[in-house]
Formats: sequence, structure tokens, C-alpha cells
Amino acid sequence: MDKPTLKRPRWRSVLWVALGAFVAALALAAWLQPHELVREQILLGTFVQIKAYGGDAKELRLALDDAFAEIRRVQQRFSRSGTGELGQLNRAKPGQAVAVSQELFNLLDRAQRYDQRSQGAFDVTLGRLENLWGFVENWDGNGRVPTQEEIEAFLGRPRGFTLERQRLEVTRLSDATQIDLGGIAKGYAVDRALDVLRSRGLRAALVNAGGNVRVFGRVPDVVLFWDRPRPFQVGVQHPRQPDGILGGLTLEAGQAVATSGDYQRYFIVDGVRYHHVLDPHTGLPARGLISSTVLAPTATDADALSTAVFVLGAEKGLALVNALPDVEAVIVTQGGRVLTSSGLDTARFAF
Amino acid sequence: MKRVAWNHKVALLKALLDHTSWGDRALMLCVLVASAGFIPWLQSGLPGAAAVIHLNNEVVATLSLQREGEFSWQGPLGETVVQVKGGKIRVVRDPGPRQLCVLQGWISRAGQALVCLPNRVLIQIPGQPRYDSLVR
Repeated sequence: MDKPTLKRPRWRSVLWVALGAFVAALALAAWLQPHELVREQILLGTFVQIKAYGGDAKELRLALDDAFAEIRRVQQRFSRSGTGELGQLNRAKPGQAVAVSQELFNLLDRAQRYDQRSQGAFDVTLGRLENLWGFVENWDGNGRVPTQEEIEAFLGRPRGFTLERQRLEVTRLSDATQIDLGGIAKGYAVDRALDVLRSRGLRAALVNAGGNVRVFGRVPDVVLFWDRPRPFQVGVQHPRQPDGILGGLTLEAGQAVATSGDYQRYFIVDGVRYHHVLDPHTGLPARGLISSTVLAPTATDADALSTAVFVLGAEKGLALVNALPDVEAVIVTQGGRVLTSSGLDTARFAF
Repeated sequence: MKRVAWNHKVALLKALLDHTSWGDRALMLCVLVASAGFIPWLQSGLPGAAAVIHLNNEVVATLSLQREGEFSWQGPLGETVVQVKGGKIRVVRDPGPRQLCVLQGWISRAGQALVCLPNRVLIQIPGQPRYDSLVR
């Protein structure tokens, strides 16, 4: 009997198998690829973008729906002149103790601590001054330069509020005290949105609200079947060059970064730029820096501190940052010099 | 000699065409196209493919980050030595007083750079650095 011979496979069959295996591999790789969902909305008077990574596309959509809903909630509640809680507080009679929510109380408490820590550079009672300059809540791009008398009249009046912890009460000391949480609300909204995303079991997410960014997790980086997640990279744009990048920041687990600058809200009169970050001591836009970028553990901290550093200027601003653990900064002076805090290593920030 | 080689190739091609059907040829084309399309997809996941070395503001070399090895250049202060390994590059030795470029360690991403200012050496990985987000 003839030994059964193994038929040499025709090269055509080999080709079919190869193609089939290739297609199967691609399909598997595609299936293993984590989903990315990116969504933008105009909120908080700025451009808000959320990027989220996870295994389930539907889960991602719902998580983003909720995250944006949370940002809208914060915006409404902490609007200084709206119908929300803060607006009502600002319209209450001065000297009267007003009971507020734990959330607003905590935020006002934090604001007061930043105020003390920054020697008054971070001040949330400038609502009336901002109105004088035309930097109203729904700013239309226009502004006016107040007279010296108007500014002095504002500075001359006592401002402030007291907090009563047991009953969660806030008392505005004067009618001149209009609480504006603009220097901290975006950061707070980012923190809240991130909490929502984190609670959904996603792999990673980034929230950017007009330059206030916070992340959790690492970006999946898949090539075929291998995933080497990498940390989020945030580019810090140059304050004067739209396409220029000052450098890249690497954000790890939960870190946040925020920037304050003289280019975010400003108007020009007689060739002079007047921007919206007012110095509480002079009543005028803070001079000295054109941008301050702060890296901090939460977006609320980063937001408040970037404002404080901007007002304090290079020397005092960097001194404040160097004294705080886990906080770093990159600033650009009027002269165009780029300075960094002492703890900012090149692994974190690279030019 | 050349003629023979050319004839040889033509003969092979003819043989291929004679022994295959249209279906076969379509199949071969599919596999070829698919393989070619695979490569850019692989590439898009890779950080930086090459490092450009500048000495005294002139480009003196382009190093592939896939080829491991040590390379050196002579600057005004002495020798700067770089090492390429595992798709990354770093400065091993440099005559600069503060050793800043050595302390920076490895870089591998498009847009990153190592600057050995005193010795006039700049190592740059060209390309747009890809950022997940921008703050301004």
C-alpha cells in the first residue's frame, strides 16, 4: 500500500490562511482598543473639553453627560449675580447672617484661607470693582477704565465676610462686599466633574475648563495588543504667541494645572491693555507678569493659586509656591522672562 | 549580464501570471495592500523615530533611535557622548560644568530636546509634540 503522502499545500491556500489570520489579528486588536470619547461645550464663560477613556462606549457617553451636568450645576450655584445660592447671598442685606449649603460654605472657607496665605492677593470680594471695570459676569468684551475717584471709593470701603461654622452661616460685612468666586469656581467645577468621572469606573479622564486642567489615570497607548499607558501631557501655550508652546507638563494621578494671564479677558484703551485679574490693593489690573501657570494637587488649588501668583508677581509669587508642598509654577514676566519654582524638575516640565 | 537578469525577471513574472487566476491575483494584491497599510498604523503609535544632533547650530548627524549605540562629537570644551538604547537617547558624558544635559536623562518623544549649552551640543527629536490638552 502506498504511504499516504502529505500533499504540499498550494501556495494559494497559504495565502488565504495568511490573509485570514491577518484580518483576525486586526479585528482582535481593534476590539481590545480602549474607547476614547471627547466632548466640548461652552460653559463657565469658556471652552470646556472632557476626554475620557474606558472599555464601554455607552458608559463613556453617560459619564460625560453627567460630568457636564455637574459643571452646569456648579456654574449656576456659584454665579455671583444669578439666581443661584451665591447670587442670593450677594443680594442679602449686609450684616445679616445667611445660612448656606455645606458646599458653598466650604468653598468660601477655602477662599478665605487662600486670601490669608497670599497676603490678600487672592480676594473674592471684588465683585463691585470688577463691575466698575466692565468685567461683568456675562462679559461682552467691552470695558471701561474707572476714574481714580471711583477706585479709591471702592478701596476705601470695608469689605469682607465672616463664616459661622456651626450653623453654616455667612455674613457679608458691607454692601460693597460682592462675593465673586471667578478665581476659584472653574477649578472647583473641574474637581467636581472629575469626581463624577472617577466614580464611573473609567480608565482615565482629562477635564479642561478654559485652561484649568485636571486628570486621573493614564492614557491608554495601544499598539496591536500591547498597552503601555502613558501619563497625560499638557502643553502650556505661550502667552503672546498663539502657536508657541512654552513647554509640556506631565500630569500624573490626580494632578491639576491652571493658568492666569493678561490675555484671557482684557480690553485696550489708548494702547494700554487692561485685563481682568485685578490687584486688590491697587484696584488696577495686576502688572508684573503676563502669565502664571500653577501645578497643584487639585484644580481648585491650582485655580486660586494661579490667580494669587499672578497678582503677587515674580518674587512673592514664587516664594509662595516654593513654600507650598506639591505646588509648582511656571511664570512669564512682562519682560518675557520665563521663571520656574524650585521644585519643578525637567521630568515634569520640559521646554 | 544585465540583460540576462532582466530576462530572468520577466520570465518569472510571466510564469506567475500564467499560473494564477484573477482571483489569485486579487488576493495577492489584497495581502500586499493590507501589509503596506499596516506599517503606518504601527508607526503612529511610536514616539520619536530619530534624533537630530546640532553642533554649533549646525546639524551634524541624524541618529535613528532604533539603532543602539554610543556616539560622540567634539565641541569647544571637549567630547559630548550620547547613547541610544531602546528607542531613547541620553547624554552619557559632557564637559559642561553643571552637567544639566546629563542630568536630564533619557528622552524619546517628538519635540523633546537635550541641551548641552557650554559645549554647543543640541540633541533634538523633531516633530510636533503631541499634547493631550493645551492650557493658555
